[in-house]
Amino acid sequence: MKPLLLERRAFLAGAGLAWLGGLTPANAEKLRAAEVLFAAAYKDRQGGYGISILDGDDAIVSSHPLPGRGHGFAARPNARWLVAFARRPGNFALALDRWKAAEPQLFHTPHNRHFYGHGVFSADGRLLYAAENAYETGDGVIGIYDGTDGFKRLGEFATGGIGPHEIVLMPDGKTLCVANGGIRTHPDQGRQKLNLPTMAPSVVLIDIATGSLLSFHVLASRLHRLSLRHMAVDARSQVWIGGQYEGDLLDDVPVLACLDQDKGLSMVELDGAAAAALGKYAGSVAIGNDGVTLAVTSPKSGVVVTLDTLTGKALEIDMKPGTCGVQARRDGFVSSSEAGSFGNATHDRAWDNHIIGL
Amino acid sequence: MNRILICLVALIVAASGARSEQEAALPPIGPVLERMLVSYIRPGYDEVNIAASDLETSLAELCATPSGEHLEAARSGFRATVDRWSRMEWLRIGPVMSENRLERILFFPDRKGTGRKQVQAAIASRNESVIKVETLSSQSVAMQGLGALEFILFGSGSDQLAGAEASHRCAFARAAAGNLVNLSRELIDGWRDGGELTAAFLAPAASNPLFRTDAEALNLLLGQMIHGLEAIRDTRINAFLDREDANRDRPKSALFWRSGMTMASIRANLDGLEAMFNLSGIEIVSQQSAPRLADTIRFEFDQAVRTASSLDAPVAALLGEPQTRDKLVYLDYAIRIIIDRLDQEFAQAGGLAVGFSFGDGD
Repeated sequence: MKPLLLERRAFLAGAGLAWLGGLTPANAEKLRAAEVLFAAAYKDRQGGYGISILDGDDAIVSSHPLPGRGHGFAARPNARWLVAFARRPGNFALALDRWKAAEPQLFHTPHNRHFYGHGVFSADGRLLYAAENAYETGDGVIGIYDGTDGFKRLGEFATGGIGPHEIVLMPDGKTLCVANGGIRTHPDQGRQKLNLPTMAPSVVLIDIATGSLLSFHVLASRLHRLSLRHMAVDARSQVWIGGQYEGDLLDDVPVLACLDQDKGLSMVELDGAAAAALGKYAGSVAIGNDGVTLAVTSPKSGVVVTLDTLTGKALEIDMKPGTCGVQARRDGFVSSSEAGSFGNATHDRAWDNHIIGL
Repeated sequence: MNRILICLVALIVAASGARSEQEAALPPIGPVLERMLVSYIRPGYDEVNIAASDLETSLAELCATPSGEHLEAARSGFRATVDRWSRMEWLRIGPVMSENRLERILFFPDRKGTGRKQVQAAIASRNESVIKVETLSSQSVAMQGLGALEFILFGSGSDQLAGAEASHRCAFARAAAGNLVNLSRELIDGWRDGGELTAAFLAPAASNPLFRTDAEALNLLLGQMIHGLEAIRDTRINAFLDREDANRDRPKSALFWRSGMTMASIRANLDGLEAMFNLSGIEIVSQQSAPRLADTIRFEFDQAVRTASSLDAPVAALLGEPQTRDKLVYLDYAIRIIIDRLDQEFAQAGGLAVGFSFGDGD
């Protein structure tokens, strides 16, 4: 654990100079002392967007403006940068230097692509993989950016589906898991969903070195309107995938799936109260530090459901209006809401959908 | 160890029937839901069904006795059906979200012109499966609904419907109208008294599949209006209008350009959403904290409807004339104003903390 802590401290020491310019001395000290940090995107009361870094006591220690609404992040303990992605159909990403006093780097997709709001670093922390829409054809791609060279775009992989959303790096460090949400959009038509009758979500495993599709997993056809979007990997390398249902809400459909590399993709039936509480919509998922407990949120119904991934049983159903962001913390989870709550604190901003641990 | 700890944690269900403090300050949503159902949803779908039935009848007459007069009656029946459907199409709750009914009634945008190509091919090959409702209803969604009917009744070769040589084309139109009759009946049936949907729609509760609290119900209703307005702007007006560059306007990408119903449909869309706002009485949630807000929203809806009504010409002509083109740009802007008003002020007056659209988890 020690090297990670040292890196974290190094990040904080450098960070204070460049992108945390407005930090008070007290907060700078707080930041240096903090061992647990989170980042989350927000919208402030004036309608401005940005990201905040928060400490383990849920206090904001620094904030940085974004040119538009943010969504998810990419970060790794050994990666120099923390990258915040624009929400779809935005095309910007902002990288903040974790190690040195370098200025933030704003970079964009090529003109015929946009981000979907999520990405991940390679195991060595050098390359960034971002979910993107090649919107003229509708093909999902993973854009590859060089974190050691100003986020120059090196190329892209096909995701084998439409609407790739969250990407996670599997514990082997060699495989990307991508949730293809299945929903086609085109920036000319805003956020309109263009292909609901034919949508076909999937989860794919991709060889990070070659871009080869290693496996392709789909749902039963009756579930073709369950957009698979957010993911977390447990201690057994199983991927837990939260869906968002685009069909009739009276349909009896599960909202959670599990990918086991040996057994394939299966749906997870939650008990009645947990399933009802989520309202067929998972906004964010996170695995606990124990590698076993899973948290699933729904901002629509305002709930954090925690589950035991070994038994599939719900442990807690915590109604929290407008809550979507969730991340592991100590022996539990921290969650955030559009009304400003973050863990035990409340801030004067609406938190966006995701929290990342730094 | 962890596992044992986890297993020891009792199942805590913090959800309760009690309304939150914030909600408690607002009038209950139940009566709004009831009015929405009784005054907007049911009569609206009834009118769609009546218009589709009239269209089928006029097509039956046309197919039996082809004539210019009967063709004109069928075309007029089509326009009426478009009008009635356009008032209801942004309601995205219930049976319309099942079995691709929404897209089977109207598939748009159709960027590649799939529907037109499929309809043309079916007519050219005298495809037998498109002339009976039972077989048409399992064909591609783009061949079944208003888009297909428009091409059949107004597209190239449609004038032949006035003569005896277009019997297959006429039978296709009649089957498509019959299909719309069935679909609209299924919508009516889904919202019937005593049905599962109606029971769920009228009573938010912890185990309710539609919404668990009053706030969530308000969110869903408001979402119909905001998403509808966004879709009118993004998929209907922006289909043919390029706000930045008139050289990039696309009049033939407009919905219903062949029947000249583009603007009438947009007008009916706006009318329908204003009716949803007014007939549901959703404004009660803003009465205490923002007593004038509902009138402002009504005024802005009226402005948009009036603008759309004044643009009563084929889209190509509207785009070709700077003055009317400017009005289209203004209409786009007027819709944006209503969206912002509902998304920000109304949502906040209704207790939705930071505006409606922020709640989308994406």
